[in-house]
Amino acid sequence: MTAMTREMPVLVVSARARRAAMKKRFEKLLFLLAALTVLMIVLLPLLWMVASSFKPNVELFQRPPKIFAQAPTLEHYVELWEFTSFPLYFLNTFLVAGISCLAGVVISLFTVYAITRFEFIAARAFAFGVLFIYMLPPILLALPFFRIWYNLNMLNSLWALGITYLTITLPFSLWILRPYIEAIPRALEEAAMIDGCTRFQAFRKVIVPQAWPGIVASFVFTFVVVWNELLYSLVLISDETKRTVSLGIASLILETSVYSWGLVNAAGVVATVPVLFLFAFAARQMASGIGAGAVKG
Amino acid sequence: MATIDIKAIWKAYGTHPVIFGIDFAIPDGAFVVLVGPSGCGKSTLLRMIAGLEDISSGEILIDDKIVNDMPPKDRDIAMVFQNYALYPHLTVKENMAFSLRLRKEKRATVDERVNRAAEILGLMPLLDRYPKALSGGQRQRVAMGRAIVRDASVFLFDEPLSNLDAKLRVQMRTELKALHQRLKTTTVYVTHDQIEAMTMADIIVVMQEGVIMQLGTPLELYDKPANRFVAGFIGSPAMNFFEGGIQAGIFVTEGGLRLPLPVAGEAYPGGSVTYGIRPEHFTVDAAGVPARVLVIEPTGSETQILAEIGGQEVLAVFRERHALNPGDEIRLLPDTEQAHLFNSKDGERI
Repeated sequence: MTAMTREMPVLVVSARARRAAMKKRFEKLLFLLAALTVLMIVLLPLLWMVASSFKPNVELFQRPPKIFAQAPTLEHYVELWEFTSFPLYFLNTFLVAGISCLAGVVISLFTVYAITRFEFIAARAFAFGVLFIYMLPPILLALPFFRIWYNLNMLNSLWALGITYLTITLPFSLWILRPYIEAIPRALEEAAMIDGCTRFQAFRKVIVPQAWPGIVASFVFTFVVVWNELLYSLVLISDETKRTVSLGIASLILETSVYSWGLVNAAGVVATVPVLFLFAFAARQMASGIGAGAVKG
Repeated sequence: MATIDIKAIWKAYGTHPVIFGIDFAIPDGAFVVLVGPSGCGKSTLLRMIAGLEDISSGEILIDDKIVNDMPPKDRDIAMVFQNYALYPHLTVKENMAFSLRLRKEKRATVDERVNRAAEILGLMPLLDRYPKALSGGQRQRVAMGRAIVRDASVFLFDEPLSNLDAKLRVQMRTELKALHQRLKTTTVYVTHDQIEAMTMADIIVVMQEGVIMQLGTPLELYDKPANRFVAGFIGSPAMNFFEGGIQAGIFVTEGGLRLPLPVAGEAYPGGSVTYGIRPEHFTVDAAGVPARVLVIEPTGSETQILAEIGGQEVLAVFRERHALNPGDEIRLLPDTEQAHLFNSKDGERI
């Protein structure tokens, strides 16, 4: 047997390689700085809002301004809860956004299924028509809706507001869900129908689980859009007890000017919490890869 | 088990017909393979049997019952798809139990039948896995398992092995045939691979452009192809063809090459004729026609030789080994008894 010796290779780092490594590190630093700048722009107002909501009134307008409260207080939150109608606005918004988004997702789920699975002449035109409506400036739709609900004596109705929100939630859900449903192989439904399902059962037992990440995504995104919506509620709601959260905050600023700045910030924080929770929930649900292995990739 | 009768089936997409009045019967327990090139209508026919495709005209009967308007779930069929079509959100066990749960079978029955199928297919260790954690071969087995647990009267396979690698395809082919021998369920199997058709079928249906070109046992198709298309499609490597005519009991090509005729051709009155001879029906013999060796491809068990005869490339296969080199001049003798003659105009066998 031949004796074999193994020697550790000596690593020689040339000046060129060192320069390349430096360049790489510099590029990394540049990207990091860019990311930090974006983060600052996005997060600074949020941080300012959260910090201000805990500041007593005397600290809110002090000069020079300080980010964090010196004597943190919950007085604005207590005031928001006890002396304003914010809990009611919350409930109103949950109700309107929840129903409108749920209806939007369910209707668009069936619509997308029909557009992608059955051949009918208007399918394409219909899909583009819905997108076109979404592209229209909301004010164009707000005024006719005001007229319609006025004629039906349904101004200040949360149901009317919810139905109006369908003009936002339906097209949005439709366009989020379409690629999800389109990507589901037809063979899966066919297999289910041969296994004993009716078409509707195949839809419920195969399509819905496969499209679940898309369903969650469209619900969350439309919920957030509706949660933040101001124009329609401003036009259609004048009754103080029917206000939504965004209309409530806007009214708070208009009615109290800057004297209740802490209160406005506390309302802003409270209004942000459900959205954050929803995104945290959605991130888990939308974890992709559930469809892997269905068919040969 | 069941019989299937296909009676004058037509299929058209809009005004464009793709299947033209197909007629044939599948006996109880038979393994029938529909084979043909892409676009010949074999998968469409299978999907019509499954109920996944409407029938434009004609009738399909399963066990003497017309099923034209019967939904797939009521036809008592099981189907294995080309791309497996496993439910990704369900485990192997849940995939296999899907149809039984839909029928609201008792839990004990479901478990017993799933376990029995899993044992047959060697899936026991994989029952709790999701499809994404399986290899291609394992997924195909699960798809087969899903069909087996149904205990259906008819199995339909739509190119089930075409996504597997060559080695696994051969293995699964044997497994499928063994499974059919064990279960004896009437099976309709679609493939474009004529070797799959030859090795697995009791009856082969060769299709082209929506019509049946020939129907018969694998050896009938190999030995007596009804037309030039079947002759060229069945058999690997493919049959060699020469165009020419018959003069005084001898086949003569336009280039003057003369080939001995089988008995059937000697009395043929005349006209253009295609002479077909399979690569394995040549011998190296001094009495043969002159040929120049172009390429030699030894596979170990046999040697394929591409040669030029009368200005035309011809493939010959030999079990015995010949010491040949490219450029060698040899003589190849066709086995007259194995030669086939076809009318050049319509391609029909003479």
